[in-house]
Amino acid sequence: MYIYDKFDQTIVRERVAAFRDQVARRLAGELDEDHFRPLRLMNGLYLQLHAYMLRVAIPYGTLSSAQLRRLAYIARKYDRGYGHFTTRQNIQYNWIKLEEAPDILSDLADVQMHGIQTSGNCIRNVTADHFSGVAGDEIDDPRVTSEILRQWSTFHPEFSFLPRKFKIAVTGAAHDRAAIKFHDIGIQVVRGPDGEVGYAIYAGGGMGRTPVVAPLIRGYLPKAELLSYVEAILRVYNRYGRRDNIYKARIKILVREIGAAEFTRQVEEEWKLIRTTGVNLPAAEEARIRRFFAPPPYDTIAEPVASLTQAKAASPAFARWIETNVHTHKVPGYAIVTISLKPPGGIPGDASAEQMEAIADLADRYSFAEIRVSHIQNLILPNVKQADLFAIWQALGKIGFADANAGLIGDIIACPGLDYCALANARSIPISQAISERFADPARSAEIGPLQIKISGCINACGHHHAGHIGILGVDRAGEELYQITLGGAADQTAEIGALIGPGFKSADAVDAIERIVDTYLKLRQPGEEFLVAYRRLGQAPFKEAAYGRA
Amino acid sequence: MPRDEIEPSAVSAGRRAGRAAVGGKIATANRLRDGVVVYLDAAGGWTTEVAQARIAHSSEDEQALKAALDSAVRANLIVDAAVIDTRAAESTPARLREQIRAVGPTVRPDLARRKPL
Ligand code: SF4
Repeated sequence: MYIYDKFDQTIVRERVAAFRDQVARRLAGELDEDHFRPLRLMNGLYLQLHAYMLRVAIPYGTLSSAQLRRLAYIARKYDRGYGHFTTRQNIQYNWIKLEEAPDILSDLADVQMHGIQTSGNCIRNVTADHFSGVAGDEIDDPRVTSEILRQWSTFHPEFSFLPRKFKIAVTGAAHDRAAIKFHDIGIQVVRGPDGEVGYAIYAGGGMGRTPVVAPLIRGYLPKAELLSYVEAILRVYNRYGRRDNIYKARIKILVREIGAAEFTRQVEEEWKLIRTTGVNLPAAEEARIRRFFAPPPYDTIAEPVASLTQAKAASPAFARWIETNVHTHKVPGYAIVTISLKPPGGIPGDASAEQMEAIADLADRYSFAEIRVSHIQNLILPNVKQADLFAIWQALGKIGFADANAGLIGDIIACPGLDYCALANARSIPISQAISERFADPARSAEIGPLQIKISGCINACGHHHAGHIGILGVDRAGEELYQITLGGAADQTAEIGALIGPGFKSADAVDAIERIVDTYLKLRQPGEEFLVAYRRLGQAPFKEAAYGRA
Repeated sequence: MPRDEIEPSAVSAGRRAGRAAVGGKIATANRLRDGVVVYLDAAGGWTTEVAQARIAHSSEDEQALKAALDSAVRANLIVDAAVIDTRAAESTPARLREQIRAVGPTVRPDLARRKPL
């Protein structure tokens, strides 16, 4: 993975020193909150319901074991022993004291981490496919592109005060695991007419109050011209984005108002002006960055791996976990492991300091000291030998993270909601807990098959409910928490926005409604037909009737 | 991970707040230096215990709460100050959001600041 050079390290250290001074002045009363708030937000420090919350950037979801261990240390020393992995591939701490924040940032800087680009109207921390570099279907490692974008966007003076926040996601494969079409810019690595590597560029996607699936604005962009093209998009947005109305300030509104064709025309025009002015990255620099993502020294291993076959035969529970949580690696004899942070009844994305440390140990021992954070709020061991899978599964069992539910109904995305978040209208986590408990039986959830439930506690949609096969949005109606259900959303290359089925449910009824929807699917599906496919075939009517108990 | 023993509906806004008559007012904020939730108490100090909060029942009392909040904001002791509704005759906040602030996340009863309201 990328290691900071002296320049990276210096700017992060200088930022810590500046923030330490700002915090001291705030505590001494020399700065009032109106002046201080933007300064703390620029370092990822929010004020939530119970305390300050620190959001730490995990660029494109890639962590070293040393970094994960440091995150555990911070959870224990400055927080209440746990952290929350988010849909932005970040980690959030919920119980931070302002007076300790500078020390935390300093401890993070020791391991090349910070809270920069996790708040404010700047280009936010870039996200990417959590299987980057190891997926068999990948054309090119999106971490290289993401790291280039990270370096280019960090403290970019022209783009530090955009009309609104700006999110970029990158996938290296046709199978989109990074939900790129729900981002301000979505970048997909593709092959050009002559087989050379380049990008397809989507722009103007997003969730929130006005969900939009990003249109394709360029089918093929040569790899070397990435930065000038992205800069052209940002320039058009920076000039014409609606600064007068916070609800209309995202790029998706601009693209929708002037139309994708006109937006594209303006971007292309701007691009012509700047593509040869030196914005693009020199090939030597691209090569330097790429070297950091060179494959680790894999062994040559013949498949099938006999010990794995035997272990699967001996333990049906292990075989089930292999089926759901282990994915094909590009190198024979290796595998990708999804560590589910979703035990039935648990809090999606939460991990204790002890659990983080145990996972860091597993990464050291079995996965070239590397971990990934997925936007689905799980952790990934990207590089494990198939022969080690049984030992890993057993070790995960000891920390309560061996559930065989990745991609299944229990693998729920839930934002912090009203239990923590100052913007929330309703709680998200208790609904998620009730659903994952209801469907805790592994045989039943395997029978149901792939099904993504995503829950947000307000229309900001941090829980990606618009993209859930089943989406749940918490609303507040006259002081009561109600849960609206949407169906048919999808976050992958077939991205779609879920459609609302009708009035919201009380929290006690929402889980029953979900169960009736799932039972309807089981009743109506064709052999082997997944939930989303069945929904697309059948339409909303039978599910809606079932949800409201009219079936 | 500790389990929430409370069924989601057991602390829903509906049962706790939706139909409850609005009582008095209390003043709340987060303490600047550590973000902890605090309430103005009868002695003019800041308490972390909602049960100790000073309850205003008249508009003059409410003005006094606002004045106390303003001066504490200016003294850089607190942030996000607000006067909130309570249930009739008690200091228990009317809204679920404020009940959660008073107690802690409902999904982590092990971290609760006090017994559920
Ligand atoms: S979706 Fe709303 S409630 Fe959930 S974390 Fe985002 S802002 Fe908070």
